[in-house]
Amino acid sequence: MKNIIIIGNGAAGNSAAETIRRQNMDVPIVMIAREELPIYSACALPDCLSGWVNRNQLFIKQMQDYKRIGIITKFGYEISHIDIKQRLILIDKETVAFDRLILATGSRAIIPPVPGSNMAGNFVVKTISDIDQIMAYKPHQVLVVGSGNIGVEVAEALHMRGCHVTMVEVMDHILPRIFDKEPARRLSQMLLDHGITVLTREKVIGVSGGGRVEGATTDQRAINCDTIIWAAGVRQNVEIAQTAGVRIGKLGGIQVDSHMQTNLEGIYACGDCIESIDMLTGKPTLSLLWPNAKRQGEVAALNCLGQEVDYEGAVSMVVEDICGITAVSIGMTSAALDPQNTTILEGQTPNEYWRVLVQDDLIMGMQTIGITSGLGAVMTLMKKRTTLREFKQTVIDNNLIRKTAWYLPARRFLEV
Amino acid sequence: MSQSRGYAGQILEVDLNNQAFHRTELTPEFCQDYLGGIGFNARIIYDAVPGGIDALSPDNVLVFGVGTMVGSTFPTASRTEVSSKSPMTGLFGTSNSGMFFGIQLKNAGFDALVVKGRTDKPVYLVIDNGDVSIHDAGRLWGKDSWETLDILKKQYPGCEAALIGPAGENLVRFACIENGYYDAWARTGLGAVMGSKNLKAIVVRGSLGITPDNVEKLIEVSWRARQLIESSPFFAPFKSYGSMNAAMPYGNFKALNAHNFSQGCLPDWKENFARPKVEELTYGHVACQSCIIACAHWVEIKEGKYKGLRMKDMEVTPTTSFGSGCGMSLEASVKAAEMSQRYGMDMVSAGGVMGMAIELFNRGIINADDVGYELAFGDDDAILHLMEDIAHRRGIGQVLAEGALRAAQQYKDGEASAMHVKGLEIPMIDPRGRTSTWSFGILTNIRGGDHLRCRNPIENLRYNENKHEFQKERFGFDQKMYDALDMPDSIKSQAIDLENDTTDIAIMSRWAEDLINLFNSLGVCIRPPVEHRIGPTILAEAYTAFTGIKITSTELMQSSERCWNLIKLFNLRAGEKPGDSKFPRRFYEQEVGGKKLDETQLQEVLRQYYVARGWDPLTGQPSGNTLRELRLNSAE
Amino acid sequence: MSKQLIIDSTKCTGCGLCQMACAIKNNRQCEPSLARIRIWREETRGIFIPMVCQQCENPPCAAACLMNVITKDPVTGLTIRKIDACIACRACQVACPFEASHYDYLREVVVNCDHCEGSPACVQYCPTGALQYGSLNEVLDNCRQAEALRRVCT
Repeated sequence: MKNIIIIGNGAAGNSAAETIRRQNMDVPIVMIAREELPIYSACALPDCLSGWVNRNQLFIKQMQDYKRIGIITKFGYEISHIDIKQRLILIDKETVAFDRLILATGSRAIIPPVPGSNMAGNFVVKTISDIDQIMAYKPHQVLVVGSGNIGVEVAEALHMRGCHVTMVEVMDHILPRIFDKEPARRLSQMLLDHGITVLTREKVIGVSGGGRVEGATTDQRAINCDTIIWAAGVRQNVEIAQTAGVRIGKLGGIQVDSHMQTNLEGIYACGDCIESIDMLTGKPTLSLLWPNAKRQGEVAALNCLGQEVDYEGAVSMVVEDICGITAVSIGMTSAALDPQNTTILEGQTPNEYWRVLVQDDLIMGMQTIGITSGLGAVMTLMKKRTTLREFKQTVIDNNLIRKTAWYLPARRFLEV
Repeated sequence: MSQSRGYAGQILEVDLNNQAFHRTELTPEFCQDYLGGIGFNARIIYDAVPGGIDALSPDNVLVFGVGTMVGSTFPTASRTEVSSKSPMTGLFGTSNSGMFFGIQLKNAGFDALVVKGRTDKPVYLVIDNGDVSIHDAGRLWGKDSWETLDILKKQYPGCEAALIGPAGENLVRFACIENGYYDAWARTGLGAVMGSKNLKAIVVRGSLGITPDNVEKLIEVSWRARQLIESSPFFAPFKSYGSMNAAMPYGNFKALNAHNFSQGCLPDWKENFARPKVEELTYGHVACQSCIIACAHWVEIKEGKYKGLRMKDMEVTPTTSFGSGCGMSLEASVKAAEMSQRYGMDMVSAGGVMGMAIELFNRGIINADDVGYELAFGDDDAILHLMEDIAHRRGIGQVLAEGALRAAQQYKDGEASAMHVKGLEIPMIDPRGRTSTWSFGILTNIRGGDHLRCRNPIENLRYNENKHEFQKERFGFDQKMYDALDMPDSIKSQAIDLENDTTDIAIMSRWAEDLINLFNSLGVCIRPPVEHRIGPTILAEAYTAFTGIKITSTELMQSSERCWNLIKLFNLRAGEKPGDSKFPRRFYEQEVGGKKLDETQLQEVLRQYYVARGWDPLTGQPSGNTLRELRLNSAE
Repeated sequence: MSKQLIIDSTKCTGCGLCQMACAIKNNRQCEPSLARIRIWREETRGIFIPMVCQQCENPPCAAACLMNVITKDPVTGLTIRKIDACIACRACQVACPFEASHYDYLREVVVNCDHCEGSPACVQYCPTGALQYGSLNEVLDNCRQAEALRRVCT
């Protein structure tokens, strides 16, 4: 094999590159990416905004780390065209040939077409350059649009920086994709107690100002602000691939089989840009999480090298720090499950809250506030499809439990 | 993270009358003078509880004192002392327990907890990493202690709790304070004090950490202490068989409480309680915090009447109280232990009161109409039924719940059956069978009739010889053992006569009491291998390494002695009389194993003990000189 | 992996000296909750289980780490961390089924057991032999010898 090209320098791309190098020190690897920077943790960007992490701490590699493991880097380049037949990639004036191609082009944050949203003072949080721009802008009154995990983290981060923050969410509770209504209500209350204004069931319909943001209007009120952070969603970066003939799925991501291969021979895809399969439901899903991207990159790389490895599917695990308290969501939420068939095991102690979603005696999801132990066990039970009945039988047996002791921290959540 | 070294650094005072909390910083002087554990308790209670108050009134004060070394690497440092004015004796009531309550309280930020006053409605206290709060205990009141713990441990994962069961709620005079599921601050009725305050439980949980002053030194001393303990000849038997090691020897000496101190040993004792029988029921060992011995047994009854019963149990004292004192079977004694834990009653006092009740029944002083059913030694069902009645103050339980002395006083000539000293029921040892430091200590123990504060560190279980008119017991060991014993030479040469192979009971008792009291101040366990090998020299090194406070071994023992004397002053102020230090009449009048006690001779030993202590030889009052030396003259 | 921490929970009495040893070694504090080894207490069943990082070949903590701090050491086979890069996001703590990632509140990072550079403190302190350190063969051999000795001497 002559050449493997990886497009993208994020979690998936780097995981693929490192996996290839662990197996094979010789095959040439070229990494092409838009940002002229080594890989940094996109997840830690809000922590940088808050001051918890320094800007230089964000970088996971330095440029020499790529060189050291023999990766040729072409960072700071836009790809003009991929020629599938000739197996060539055109970047600026250069052409690079490939035998195998791994697409790890990620996603980009989008700002919806709201009037005024292209003025100065409108930002997204997706790249390190976004952070630089926001800091340089010196925000005071901030409106955060969207309460997904990015929105909530950014709202908290800027609040910690001393800004006055309002967060607007169009759904009826915050973090709608990862928390049910009740835990979301509690988290909302925590944010409110901390001084962040949270508005739900409200939609931003306009931004006003003479050249820079001075305010925004929702369908219910006017809000004073000098900065707007749009955390309203992302779009997969699939345009170049699509043009080259790569099939895109209904959800907007690149379609891949269980070997991470696209419809085109020798062309793989992984990370935010793909449509993967949910491990629990078997259905297509967009799973835009760092750990999933790493695993997909690994699988793509192994298959690329000729080893047949099946991808087991994506599992959602999101860990948030909200007002110093850890909030976790694993697996599915009630919204994604049939309410007729779902049992909710809910509980609390003075500083903790949890709920476990069970369907057909199997764990489908879990959401917690203020808890950091027992979750790994529940997640593993969920992935292994261990029924609660089997769990209980093992736990009450004095001999079996010594062998599978890791079950124990999960007990109090599963009412066993 | 505390600024304090070795200590958590603060004492917490909770005033239940107005639900107020007060934190006091420890001073180096207070620490040096009283060390911790029982030392702190003694000073606090002497200052806060005047002579005449009723132990069950809101004026009584309950103190939890964590031993200084608790939370360190020092082997067996897990113990917490709880003290108050005792509703049983009216004197200083105190008890000591290990496991994990102490380390949690200390890591929650406090070396001692003082509870004053009372609330109108049941409450429980939560001390969580420095935060203190009081909660309504309405839904817990009435539940037994295991049910209550299930609820509290779910609410506060990782916590430990001190709590009372129905017996404490019902003010059974000898109710205990439970320490988790299977341990207790059992003797002297502290549970009734807590019940009288309407305090159901104290939940503690902490991870603040304790900073040692000198980490390397602490580790080095801890390892040395551990090697000393492991090299004691008492270590291996204790590790494998725990406190039950004393069961057969004392049976052979005919020195057990058998059927309410009427015989020295039951005829079928060996058959029913020997090691193989005990081992059938035990599965593995359980340890307290930092303990290398793990003397406790995990017991499971897999067949028969009490099938399914499982708990940490099989300690010699309760097993003999129920098994020998009341004649119960081995399994039934486990059941009785379970009930004692669930209801929250002292096993020794319960066994003592019930043994007395059965004897009164046999003497015809009470009958089946009074009780509601027949009573007999060895009638397990009846005895367990009686336990229920006592815990809930039902029927004759109403009388017996008052403890042996007060219950006996209800009946003409009842006191002849009450086996107590100063109002506290005597546990397993019958001094007629074996008059030694250990049994003599029952007379001089500041908490009344109890054997746990005066055990000879070098007790020899092979011999049972009492010489020179009760004054000497057989030493029975060699020069090497003599040399290795950590005692100042001046005292050692008086306590042990190598040439004549004797130990002087009076002198050794004084030393043993101060040594055990030192252990109870520092939070170290008094089990034989530890008491044998650990003495003031290494403890002073450990104390200084942990806390940074410089102290010599002499000063350390003196602080313990100060505490013991202060408690004696408390007792005298509370009305203790010289004549109270006497055994039940039976011990002087009836023979067991062919022996009985000679009152005159025993009085002489007592007089020698008082002299050894620097107390008035007739009254036992600490002399002016002694108090001055201990800087206790201002205590008066 | 050449040497492993091998745990026999049937010998564990719950004394907690391993936790104390670990905390004092790594943090110079007497505080069991700072330890990287924990005793799971099933106290109402008399079962005590020491739990520590299993040094998994494919660690879930490494996969979950949002800063890619966790890797496998090619020589020792241990799960290691570039601890300076840790931002204490707790993803590893949540992902581990063995509760092996612990938050060190003094240094504000998440840590796991690193075998104390070849001489585990917990093994030194364990009074019952529930914790042993060695190659699997070595440890099995020790158990065999101990059992043989027991049979001969009793």
